Amino acid sequence: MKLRHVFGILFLAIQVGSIIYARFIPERFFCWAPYDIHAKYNIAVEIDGKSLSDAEVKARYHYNTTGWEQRAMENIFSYIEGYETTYGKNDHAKVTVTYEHNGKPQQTWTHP
Amino acid sequence: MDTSLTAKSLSRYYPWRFEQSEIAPNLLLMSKLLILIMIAYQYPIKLQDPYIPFIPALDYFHKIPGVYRGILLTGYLFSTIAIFCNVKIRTASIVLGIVVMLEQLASQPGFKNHVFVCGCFFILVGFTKKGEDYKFLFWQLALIYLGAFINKVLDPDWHSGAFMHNWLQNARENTPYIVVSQLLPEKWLAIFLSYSALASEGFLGILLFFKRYRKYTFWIILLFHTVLYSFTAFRFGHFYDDLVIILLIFISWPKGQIEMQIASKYTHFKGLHQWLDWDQKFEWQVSNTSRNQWLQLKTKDGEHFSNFNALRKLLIYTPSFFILLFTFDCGIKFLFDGQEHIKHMINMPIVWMLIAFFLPLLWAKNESSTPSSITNN
Repeated sequence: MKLRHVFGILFLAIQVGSIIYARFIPERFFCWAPYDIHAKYNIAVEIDGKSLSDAEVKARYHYNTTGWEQRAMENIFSYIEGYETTYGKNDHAKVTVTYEHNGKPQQTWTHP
Repeated sequence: MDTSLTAKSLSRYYPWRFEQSEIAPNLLLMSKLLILIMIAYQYPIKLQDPYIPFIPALDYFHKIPGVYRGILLTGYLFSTIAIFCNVKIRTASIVLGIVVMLEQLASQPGFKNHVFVCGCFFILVGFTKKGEDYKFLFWQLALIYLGAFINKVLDPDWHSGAFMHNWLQNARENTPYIVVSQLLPEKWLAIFLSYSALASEGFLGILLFFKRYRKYTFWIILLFHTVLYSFTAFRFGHFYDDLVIILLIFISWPKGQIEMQIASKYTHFKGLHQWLDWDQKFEWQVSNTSRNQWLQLKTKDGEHFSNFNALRKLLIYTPSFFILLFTFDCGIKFLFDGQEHIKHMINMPIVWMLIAFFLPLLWAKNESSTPSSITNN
């Protein structure tokens, strides 16, 4: 078997692995699951008792503050956790995400 | 130095040349169109430094602004220029694929399936060689459908229609869905659409592994996504565009020159096509053939088609035809930016007219077994 065939099969095998791995985690990255959910959400961030504006929240997470998520709400939680445990860990921000997963009653997720 | 000789030797570097490269012309055309669609969606300016990356080690670059972005941009520029100038295409394609993967890995909020799919195909094009069956590319498509199918089939909201109803009724406010669903019992339409999508994706995921069904697979993919696009007026980022471009892998590109024979009264069409035949792949003959044989096409691979089927094949084997379609679509996109309904109203008739024009190829018979005069004149 030629080396490029080995790399080709390996590349596809990694994707098969990520599709299987996605069955064991709530996030949906690299597993070909686009537009499989639709959740209306809103992110609210509070630092030292002051609420951040929509623009400030968007700048913080590089993601829309409010809108429709089409892959998994856990993807958004992952961005927020990622930011708040690294770049923003000294801010001690309180984050509240409200969302309606596939039109169901509203749920709330908070950090920390 | 002989200037005509220099021009001829330089011509292989022209961006709109597709023959005489390391990879099949349709794969080169696909790669160039994927690059162009990414540019149309401003991909190069979206290349950024790591920000909440998937791999924590990439955060090292967060402390030295501009370096990671600079590396990606350099790799992007060199690889796209190399692909467009037909130089070391396979290597450049792998480099471009790696750039896309690194960009996707560098930012969780920036992860996009419609960009990731382009990166996958760039990498796999780099692993193919002219003359081989590019099965990796078909397996990649199969993985996309199987991944989507597995995720949907295990989600109860896809069985109850909750996802589909919420998406079309609340998120998209889709008028056809709202009108039709009101005429039916609650969520019947949503459940029907959910199972249709599930069945289509599962079926395609399996069908793509069988070479003998590729002709049918091509049409199922095209019709599935076009119906979805027509119904929702939504391209899922540029995912619909990507898939239509990727369908070029289904074309079995003919080797060598293609012989054409055209009735003398249609020679103006011959002139127009010669102007668009940038690879000079077609050899034309004008004849006074009978009225029912106004156009004939014959390839060295034994394909022989007449009249409208010859015209359909002629367009399919002409890369500039696809580039013109792409340019037209981009023109509409920029001209009516933000006016989704107008874009959709213009696109829909064109897309469905093209499908109606090319669909007869599904059952068209190769006439190679019948006596031919095309090569013997």
